[in-house]
Amino acid sequence: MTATSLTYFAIAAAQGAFKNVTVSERTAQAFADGSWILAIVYIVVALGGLAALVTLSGLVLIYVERKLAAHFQCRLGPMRVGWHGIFQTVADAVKLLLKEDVIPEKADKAMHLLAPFLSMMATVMVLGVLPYSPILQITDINIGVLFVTAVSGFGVMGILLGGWSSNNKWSMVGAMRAGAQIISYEISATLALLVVVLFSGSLSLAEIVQSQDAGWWIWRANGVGFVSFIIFVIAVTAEINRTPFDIPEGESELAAGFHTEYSGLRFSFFFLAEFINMFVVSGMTATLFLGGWMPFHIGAWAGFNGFMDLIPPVLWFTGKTSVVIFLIMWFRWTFPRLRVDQLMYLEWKVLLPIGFVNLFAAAVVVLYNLYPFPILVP
Amino acid sequence: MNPLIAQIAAHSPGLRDWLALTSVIFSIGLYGLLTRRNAVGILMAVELMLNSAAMNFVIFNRFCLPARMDGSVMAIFVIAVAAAEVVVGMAIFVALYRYRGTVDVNQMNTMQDPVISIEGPGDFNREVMKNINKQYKSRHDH
Amino acid sequence: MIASAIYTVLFYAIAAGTILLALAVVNTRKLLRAAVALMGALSTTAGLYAMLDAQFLAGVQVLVYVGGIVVLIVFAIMLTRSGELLEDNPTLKRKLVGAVISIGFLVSSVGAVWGSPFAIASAGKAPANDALMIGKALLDYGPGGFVVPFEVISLLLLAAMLGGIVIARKTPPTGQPFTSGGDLPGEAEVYHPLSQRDDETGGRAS
Repeated sequence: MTATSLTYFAIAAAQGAFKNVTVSERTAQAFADGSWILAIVYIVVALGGLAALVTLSGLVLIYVERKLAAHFQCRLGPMRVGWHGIFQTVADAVKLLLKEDVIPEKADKAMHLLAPFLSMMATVMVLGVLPYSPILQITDINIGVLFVTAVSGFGVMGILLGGWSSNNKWSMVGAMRAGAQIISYEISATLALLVVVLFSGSLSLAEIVQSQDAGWWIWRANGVGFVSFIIFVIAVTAEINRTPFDIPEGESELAAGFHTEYSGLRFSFFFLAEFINMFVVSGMTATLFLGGWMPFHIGAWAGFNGFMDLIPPVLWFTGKTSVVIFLIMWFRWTFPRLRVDQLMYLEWKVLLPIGFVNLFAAAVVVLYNLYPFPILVP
Repeated sequence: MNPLIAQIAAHSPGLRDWLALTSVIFSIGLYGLLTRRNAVGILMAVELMLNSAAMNFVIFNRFCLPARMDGSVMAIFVIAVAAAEVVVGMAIFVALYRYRGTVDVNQMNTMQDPVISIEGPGDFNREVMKNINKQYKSRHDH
Repeated sequence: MIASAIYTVLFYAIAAGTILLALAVVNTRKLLRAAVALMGALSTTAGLYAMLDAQFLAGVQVLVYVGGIVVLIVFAIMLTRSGELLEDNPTLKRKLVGAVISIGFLVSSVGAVWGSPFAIASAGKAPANDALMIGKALLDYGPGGFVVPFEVISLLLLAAMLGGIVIARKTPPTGQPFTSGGDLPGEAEVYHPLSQRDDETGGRAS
């Protein structure tokens, strides 16, 4: 029985880039074969992998952010702990874990404890559906794109609750700003994302990646894809509250926004969720517009394409995600922070109309088949 | 096969179990509708009721006509109507709060037989003051 | 067999969770907690939808309810300061009336459900891609299509949006600037049309 599962796995691996086998499918196969142990091993590996991904990407992203910030400003950044300060984040994490966990006296205690977990949950749930490689995806659901937009609602609730339950004016104002901002920019992000759904004809993330076999949507979709890529990047930067859209936690006016009253472990949850969110939205951008784990191919250049195929899909995914992450970090040291009214102006009077027109144009392109390249419509 | 598993599997929920569940949720919503005094609380109870009604469509769809998705379509309509209702309801509550200083439905009685006489702003203000003082008191009691 | 057992256990667990959360929604005295419980109840309902083979609907439920409606309710609670208030416990009479009516409804409806025959389709598999089916049904103008209700719903949403903006905007409908009551404790700005009678300059006589 175990042998069947292993054969299944071997076949899946041999078929390589053109067959998706998610971890959940493998678990189901193991269950059907009756080998409980293998199924449990798959589940444990998936959960452990998620936990490792959260921790590792959190540590790496925080270090990279500090180093990049330093070099943008002609500083060195952390240099003391380990080689070029590489263990600085670990030291900070240990410090945060050992800190006293203070809950304000008049705070709504249960809600105060619940809020960071909601934020974290929203993020981790998305990590479960991202396709990292054809054989490395926790689960692929039919409604992948819808699921990703839906669970971000839990993140909004986490922020609102955190701000409210702290019983602090700054927290409250920060939370209200964050809620309004995230809800507004979600519309633009969804409009941009719908363009990709229109072109690929599927809501499943794995199928969206498969549909970019002949070329990534950012450049194959006749300019429409490029416009929606730009809208998407702006909108998700606002959704994860990064500069230039970080007015919910603008430190010059609001102390630290919705997490002013958080300390120790709970603060680190919010902080980690913020960085993992950056990974999630960059991964989504890579999946939707940059071909996910698909290698870079040019038309009929068989030699070049074969060389590109040698690079494993996981590296392609990581590389593309890193490029988007670098872009978002670059924004932070390039653009000044917006005011609240400018923020709303940008969303409702600039991005939203462009998004609608773009969606309409995409529909026309798809309907009349105005592609320069052949397209595989399922 | 483990007898316990067989026994559990024999109790697999049927149409009537699902309908009983939605009936329970609807009754809880009804109870909230009748006992809540804050308008927002009443709206939440109404949301529960709408939700259980929408689930009935899906249940009948699943058990009586599994090849089609009409139940899901109806549920989507219910969700859209609920969204519209909440938007208008919230706008009314916010306006009401600005006007009266409370969203307690028991005090929405200006169209009733003269319990409070609105002679002029002074009277009105006294009422509002009384309300707000009461709210402040209840807020600082805890 | 195992799948069926897992399904059964899941159903009863999620159903119990939904009922508990729904009870919390109507019984919690702190309204913000009630809103959080409502979020939980609506999410578990999405789980139930997924168990009924309606994945797309489950996604829509979480997207609209958790991401939209509950957030809106939380905003309303914050804007009307209902969250700081502890709602008074309902009087015993009120509670009794509510309980009697709702239990009466429950008994009669469950009795009706148990007593009536249903045409349960024994065979038949749920369609694999329900999003595709729903999309086709929504835009189909043949028999069994829903294109007219779909358009009506879009009009309804537009009307609701306009109504919400008109009702909740800050300036009073007459066009006068908003008057702030200096005599009121707290930040609540109360606009009252009668105040215009005393004082045309905007400030209300205290």
